[in-house]
Amino acid sequence: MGELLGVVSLALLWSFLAGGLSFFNLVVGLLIGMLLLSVVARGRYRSFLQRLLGFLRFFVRFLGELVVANVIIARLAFTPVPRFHPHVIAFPLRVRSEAAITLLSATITLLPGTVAMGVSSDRRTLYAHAIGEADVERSRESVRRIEELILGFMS
Amino acid sequence: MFHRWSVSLLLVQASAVRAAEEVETVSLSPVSEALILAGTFFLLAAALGMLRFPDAYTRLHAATKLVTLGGLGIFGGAALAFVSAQATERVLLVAAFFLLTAPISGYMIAHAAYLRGIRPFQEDTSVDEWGACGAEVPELAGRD
Repeated sequence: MGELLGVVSLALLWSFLAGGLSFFNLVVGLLIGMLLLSVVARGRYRSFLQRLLGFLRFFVRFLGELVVANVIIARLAFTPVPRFHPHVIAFPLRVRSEAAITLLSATITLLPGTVAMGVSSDRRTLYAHAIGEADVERSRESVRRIEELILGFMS
Repeated sequence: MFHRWSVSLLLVQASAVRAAEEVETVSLSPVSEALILAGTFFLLAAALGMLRFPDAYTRLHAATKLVTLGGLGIFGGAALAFVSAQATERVLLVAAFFLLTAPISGYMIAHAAYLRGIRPFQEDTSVDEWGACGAEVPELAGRD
């Protein structure tokens, strides 16, 4: 959290110096802040940079999979007699923090075949509605791959 | 992309000087046209899916994924088409909120429907590993 605070305050500082708060100034400020911190405080901020890279990897993958998911559902919508293979799957979670579970369930809702439906009260199982795969294990596998990417920058 | 951003920096500075009620100018490039067309296609598929899919849960697949990408396509196309950088960044903000809200509302609807006992449409191979449909009546407030 400390590093986030540092980067955000640097970004705000930059925006005011650059002539006022605007979306663009904030983005530039964030980039400059991260660059500065990664140079000045190398040891402390290395993990932060790594997590940022992890997030970027996740985001790029996310955009790609979003398109794939949409082609699959669009094809179902245009098929005369679609076959859905609807299942409700239970997914054993490895991510623990609330933020990571939220991110995972939001992500799988937009990714191929799954819509998040609920989390068990002990926060160890995620329930999702899955379509498009006859085999439940394959749906679980695709959720697992996303979770893997999220684990790269969150716990 | 970076070049575009550096141009928009100049535009932001310039437009700060200009009057506030400025008419937004639009120049359509083939890229933004293609993006808007693709977005429209996915929105059409979403509408079809909402009409044709058998139950609330399968319709949610259409209402979350297809509507999000359809919207992103149109927003992306519009962001490229606007000449004014202020309009562009506003459109990008709208797109970001779109990306955030669709999965949350999808989750809420699926969660509520399932716990209220609306059974998912089943085919012969379907399994329900949660197996709690309608079993748990949610409290009115403070849950999740």
